Amino acid sequence: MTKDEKNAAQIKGSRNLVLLGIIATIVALITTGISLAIYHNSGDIYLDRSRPGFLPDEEEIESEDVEEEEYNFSKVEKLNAEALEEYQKNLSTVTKSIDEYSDSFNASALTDDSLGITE
Amino acid sequence: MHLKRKFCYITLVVICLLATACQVLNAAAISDAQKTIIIKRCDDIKTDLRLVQREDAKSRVHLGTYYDKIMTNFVTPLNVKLVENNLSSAGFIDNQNELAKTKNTFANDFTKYQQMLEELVAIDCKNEPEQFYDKLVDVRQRRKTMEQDTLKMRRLISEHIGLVEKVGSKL
Repeated sequence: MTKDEKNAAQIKGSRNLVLLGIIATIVALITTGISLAIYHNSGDIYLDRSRPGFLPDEEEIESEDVEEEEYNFSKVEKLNAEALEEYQKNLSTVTKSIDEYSDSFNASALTDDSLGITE
Repeated sequence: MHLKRKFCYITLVVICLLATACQVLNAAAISDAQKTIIIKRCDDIKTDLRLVQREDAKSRVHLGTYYDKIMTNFVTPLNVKLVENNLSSAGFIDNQNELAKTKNTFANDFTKYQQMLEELVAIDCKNEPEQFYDKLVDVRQRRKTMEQDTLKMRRLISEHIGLVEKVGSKL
């Protein structure tokens, strides 16, 4: 192989490497764009509390750290009055937690008064 | 036949007129004073809306977790056990189906609501206060749907508790 041929091959190799880099970047951009579109359109973005401004409060983190044994009715072997009583007791704990959010989506948060748009 | 067609046309025209009137009324719902306030307090209003958005996300995540827990750890396994013991009734099955359906509606409505809230925050309220207010009215409607979904879920859970009490009295 002559010197000129060697140089031409080197240039071709460098060009291919650059081309590979560009193609890889374009593919990465396209796939990231698709992922972000799915993330947004599926509504998962609104459940993602790791976003800036949506991070959980300290109290929430603390309560999440407390590990409690989770009740599951399928583990109960026999269906009797006792098992059903236990079921109702555990269910009422969850319903109490739900009731803490009973005012979650009430109208008051978006009224003219609360947003300061009153005359 | 001819009269029927005429009646249809008239009804269509009336509906169109009513829709236009509603739109006009909606657009006119904002006074000049309110417009001035929106322009002046635009940034503060957007900050408040972002806070609402944050609180709503918190509620959605927690409520969703509780609803899932109720379906997975309570309702579904109990219904299976009731069927095995020949104690199930149509009420339990209907209640479970309705719970699953409403849980999905709740999740879908929340996505729509958040998308609308996001669109509202994106509106330039300093230059487009009327458009901003119109969107706010729409978001309020969507929020009402969310409230109705949560109320329906709670009602269905109460119904389930009632059904369980009935079975309990038979055991």
